[in-house]
Amino acid sequence: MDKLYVIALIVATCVLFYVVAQRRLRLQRGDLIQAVYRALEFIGCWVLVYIGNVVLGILLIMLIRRLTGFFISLYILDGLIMSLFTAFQALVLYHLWLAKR
Amino acid sequence: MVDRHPRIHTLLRTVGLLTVISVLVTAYTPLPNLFARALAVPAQVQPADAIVVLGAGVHRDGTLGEVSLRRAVTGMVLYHRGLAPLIVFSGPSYEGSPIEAEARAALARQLRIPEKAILVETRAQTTTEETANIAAQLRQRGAKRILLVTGSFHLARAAPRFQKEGLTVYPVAADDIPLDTDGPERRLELMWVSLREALARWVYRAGE
Repeated sequence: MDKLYVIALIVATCVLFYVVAQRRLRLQRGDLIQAVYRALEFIGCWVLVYIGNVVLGILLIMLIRRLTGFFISLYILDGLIMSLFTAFQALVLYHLWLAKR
Repeated sequence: MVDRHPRIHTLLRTVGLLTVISVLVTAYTPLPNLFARALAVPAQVQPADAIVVLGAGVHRDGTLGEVSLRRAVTGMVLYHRGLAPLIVFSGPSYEGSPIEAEARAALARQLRIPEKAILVETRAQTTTEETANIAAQLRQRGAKRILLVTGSFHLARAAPRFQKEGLTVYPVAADDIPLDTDGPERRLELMWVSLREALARWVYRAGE
């Protein structure tokens, strides 16, 4: 039960926000759907940018190792910093793309 | 507003939706446990000529990383159980940190493992280098069978390398995430580590 507590909490606050937004901000169901689409698009953008960064990162590390003999661990690509910066990068790219549409 | 890039929208939404579904399936089903077990090498604890504890990282102040400490302790427990007369600690210096193998050896001495039973490998940066250097040290001592201590996933890459060096390998897993973990966050972590290992194996194969 405790494993589902967080999910239940998030669902409850989503419903609360939706009700408040409908009454106070006069938002419509279409706005919510649009927001969900945008959120999914951003997540998709983040994942694609992350994959791109990892692939490029691996290739560059292999190249540096081969050409210079200098050792860089592949594990540096797996960390919170990489995830956070990639998220920020994806956020900027996504909004840039939205602005240019 | 006219949508000039419908395909990009669809692609991003699809990837986003698949990601959300994957996260939920990973967190709330046994999928990561099954995936991890498929990648892991089962333990085979039995008497050997040496215990080999592979490197995992040390902090700048000389504190062993969590994974490094877990592996080192597992190796020391095997030694104290009398399963081998020799223990090899591996691990270099990382960006100015003290040498991991030396930090482990110091801990082993404090935990009553005699100096003459301890060997260190301090230079290797990769599993390939670790294997070659440790195998050379063990050959000099006539050791042929080793208890290899590292993570379950790493064993699958490391064990064949030691076998290629002519050693008989008995794998011993020292995992920081249990393969049968059932909390949502731990399952996500397990899946992440499993995917990283699958990628690492692919990169290793490509590099060979």
